[in-house]
Amino acid sequence: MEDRIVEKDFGDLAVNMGPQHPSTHGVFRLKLYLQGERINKIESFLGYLHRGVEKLSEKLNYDQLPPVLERDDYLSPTSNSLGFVNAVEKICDIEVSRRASYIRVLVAELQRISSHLVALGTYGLDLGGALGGGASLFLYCFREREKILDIMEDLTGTRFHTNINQIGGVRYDIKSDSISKINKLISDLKPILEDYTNMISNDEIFMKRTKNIGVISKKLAEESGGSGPILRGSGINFDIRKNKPYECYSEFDFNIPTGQNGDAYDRTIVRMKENVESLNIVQQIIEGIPEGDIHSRKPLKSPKLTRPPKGSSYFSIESPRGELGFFIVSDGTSIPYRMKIRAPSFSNLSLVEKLLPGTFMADSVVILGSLDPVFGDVDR
Amino acid sequence: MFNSFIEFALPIFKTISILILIVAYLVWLERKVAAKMQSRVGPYSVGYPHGWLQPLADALKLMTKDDSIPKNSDSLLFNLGPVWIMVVSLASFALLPFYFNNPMLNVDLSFMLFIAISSLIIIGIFISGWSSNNKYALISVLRMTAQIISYEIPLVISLLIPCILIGSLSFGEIIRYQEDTWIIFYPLLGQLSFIIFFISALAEGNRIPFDLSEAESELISGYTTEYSGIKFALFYLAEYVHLFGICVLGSIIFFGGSNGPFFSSNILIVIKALLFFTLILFIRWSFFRIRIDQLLKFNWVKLIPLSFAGLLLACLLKYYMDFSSL
Amino acid sequence: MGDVNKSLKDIGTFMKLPGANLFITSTDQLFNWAKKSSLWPLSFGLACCAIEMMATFSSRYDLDRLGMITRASPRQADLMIVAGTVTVKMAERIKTLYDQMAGPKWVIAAGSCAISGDHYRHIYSVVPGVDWVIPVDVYVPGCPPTPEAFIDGILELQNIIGEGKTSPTFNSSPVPEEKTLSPLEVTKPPKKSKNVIESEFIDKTNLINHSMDLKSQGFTYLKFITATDFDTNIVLTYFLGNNVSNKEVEFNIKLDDDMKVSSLSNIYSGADWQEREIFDLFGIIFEGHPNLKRIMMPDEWIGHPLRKEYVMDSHYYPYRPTRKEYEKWKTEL
Repeated sequence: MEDRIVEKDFGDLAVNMGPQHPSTHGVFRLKLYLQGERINKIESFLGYLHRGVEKLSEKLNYDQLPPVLERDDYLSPTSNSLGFVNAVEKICDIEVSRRASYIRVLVAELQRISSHLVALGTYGLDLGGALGGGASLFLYCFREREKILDIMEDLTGTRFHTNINQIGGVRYDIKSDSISKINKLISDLKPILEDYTNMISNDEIFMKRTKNIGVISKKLAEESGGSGPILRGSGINFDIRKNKPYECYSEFDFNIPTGQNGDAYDRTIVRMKENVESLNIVQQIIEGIPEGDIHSRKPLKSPKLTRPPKGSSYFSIESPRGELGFFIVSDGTSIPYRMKIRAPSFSNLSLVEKLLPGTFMADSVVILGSLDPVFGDVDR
Repeated sequence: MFNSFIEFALPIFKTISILILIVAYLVWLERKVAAKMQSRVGPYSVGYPHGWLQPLADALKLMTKDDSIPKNSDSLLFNLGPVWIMVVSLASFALLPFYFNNPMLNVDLSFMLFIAISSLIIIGIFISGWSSNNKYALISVLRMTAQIISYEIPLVISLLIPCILIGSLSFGEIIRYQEDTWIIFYPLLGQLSFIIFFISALAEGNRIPFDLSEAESELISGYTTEYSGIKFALFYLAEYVHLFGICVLGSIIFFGGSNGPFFSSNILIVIKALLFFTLILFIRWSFFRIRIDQLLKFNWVKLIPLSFAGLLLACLLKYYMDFSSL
Repeated sequence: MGDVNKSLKDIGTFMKLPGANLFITSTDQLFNWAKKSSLWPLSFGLACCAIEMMATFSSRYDLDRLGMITRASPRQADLMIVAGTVTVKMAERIKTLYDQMAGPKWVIAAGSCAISGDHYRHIYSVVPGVDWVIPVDVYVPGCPPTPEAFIDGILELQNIIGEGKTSPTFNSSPVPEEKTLSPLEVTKPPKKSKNVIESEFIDKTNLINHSMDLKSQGFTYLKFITATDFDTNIVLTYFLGNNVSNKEVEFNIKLDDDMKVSSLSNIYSGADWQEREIFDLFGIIFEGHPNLKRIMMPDEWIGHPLRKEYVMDSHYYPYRPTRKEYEKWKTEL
């Protein structure tokens, strides 16, 4: 007898996921080597949205950059410009008025909620498919997000690329009737966010799909540079808003939710709890917003370009995805000599290569979704 | 000769055209119900009111779309797949007393024959996925085969429980038996077998939470990934025909078929099937999907032992009742 | 060919019948109505505009009203909405996806990036407009376009389809000369700055020991690694953090001309991708790295974009077709 066909080693079945795939959250390509349903090894390819922002920033001057950078992490655009203007203000030693700082934080926190809502919604699509319960969750999240975008439109005139942060202050002041609108938003969103948290944390199928899936240990999370909900989901209580407060975060009272196991479930719950904390911060902002100027520099007919002194500086903020930092090397001109964006999604996504091997194919999308990458941020 | 041909073909033609019409509007109903659940409007602008021409537009568009056959695929099997599925799912309706007073094919073992025919559908799915020369389609049909073959067991057994209680395998008998009380109201066994039937029907009809073969989030669109145009339309239609067949089966076996509280008519079968279908829709648009190993484990560890226990109970009950009546 | 001639002849005889014209026209109208009423878009998003596209599909705007449901498989889709920046790496894939779609098919270029490249149009890796790659039927401007603009674009496309017009637009702007400049052959070298980084510099050979030391002191969190191209040499900057004591530490390395340094990927697993990025964009070789390949750019790319001598808007377009190739492809379509 010849060797029977079942005993032959057929090798792995290589399956390409992406760059166009419903659940790669953008343009990401994974090559899965499957043995049955199990993943033996993976290769990952990125750079499908590499737009050369770091090169572009060597051509534009400091005042032109915030709107360009807002296109980077397109789920929370304000975080990008907030980090950048803070980094520049740190080199130039510019003081920002308290009112401006409050407005910045207000917009950033509202966008954190909207970003986490998109993360939950698209996670629903990963788990439930576009033709099922996942789509319902997705649409509920987008329905609530529209309410936040309405406030954004009211404050700044655009839906999410708000372009509100400028070096030295903010571009738009908050109108008196906006306050009541935001109050209404808070009272609308609070029960709904609670509902959604209950909806997923009491769902047996959701727990079956996410508990003990994609477990990231504390050590791995730190060494690979993971930050944000990834780090906090693994039980490390680290949030730049609390640990190294920037803007006016030290004036607010809020908690840092953490998980225990570091699995996909914990990361999702941490995001949901963060939403509630952000809503608390928004509440405190509109209760205590001080009067005053919104810009430290007087408007001139021909505004002066920002010229930081020679040197380098690094400044990081807590974006919805984690530590978003800007490392700026200035040679004394009005154009950055070199700007490095420390993208949270890039470091978080690198965990994929450690987490996927050994899991099921169906888990691969669950793990990828729980890392919540934004490819404008990964590829820059 | 011509007359006999007409006699033979007319009921088939009637059934198929009514069925296709119902199924086309099932798709519309599904989109409307989903939209309602997701606080949307759903199809609206194609045909006033509420987009009632939408199924027609979809069908016509799919007819005019290009037909693509992937390179290196087995084109014979690739073309046979959708036709097979459509034919099989339509053929099973020959046995159901669904619109006319009598089923087209009146045999004593009509229930068994129905199950036998409708399980042939997996062959069509398998050949279409295998011949697509697409890895997603291949993984999808391998999952689908495992799923359907394992869920066939609890499905059949859960349907056997009422059959044993009634003592017949013919749909006519089953309906006649339920003139007074429906099987669903039969203490314990009725509800147990209905729950098992419902779960396995979801898996059989490839609905969420068991729609692993069409899991868009992993497998693009499963075994239909490479199909376009009219062949895709056949798949789409056959899926709903098959599901509607299961709904009709459920309404006959558990909900009394044509028997109603106020009047008895075969139209009641359709109405009950539609209600049953809506129930499946509610499930579909509110659940996530489970994983293949969890799905199979649930079946072999929980569902099958439970259904066998139910079957044993039904046999004992029947034996006891028959014995005592002697 | 014989079959085609015969069927053409059959159509000819059919057209001579009374009322045939009317029949053909009205069926044509019917099918056009069907095509425009059930446009199924491919679920395909690239960047920011895709988020607004998703918002357009969601509850408030609801494209299902117009009969649009997304399909994940290109075979079943009629419409491709290119929402976002098209990079050279993605352009190939977009072309493949377009070819995989079964006809009749339409394309909407949504957002200024897909139309013209927007502020990225001079970047080495960006295709200035998707119409370099595939023909476009409707352009929807905006950065990103609002859902209202999306719906406007779709209604416009429905009008085009309903009237039975086909209007794919190809890019007609002049393509750069076939003889293209390599990014490294620059006539005027840009002015480089002197080293301005003032934080601690360590010796290249001491890197592994130094980072091991820091790791044992609790600096287990690797923030990032980056490089800066100064006049005499390239400087590598390492940032580490300590999440317990809340400190961060920064140290630098001056590189020699051989551009080689040992890899940290065995100590910090996050260094893997960071070092690959620096290798890709600066051409620095990390010795001992398990998988040192390009990460952002395609493997066959020439040059390292973040070096100062690499011009941002170089005329080197690896995947941009020349005018000749472009015309050829257009006629093949």
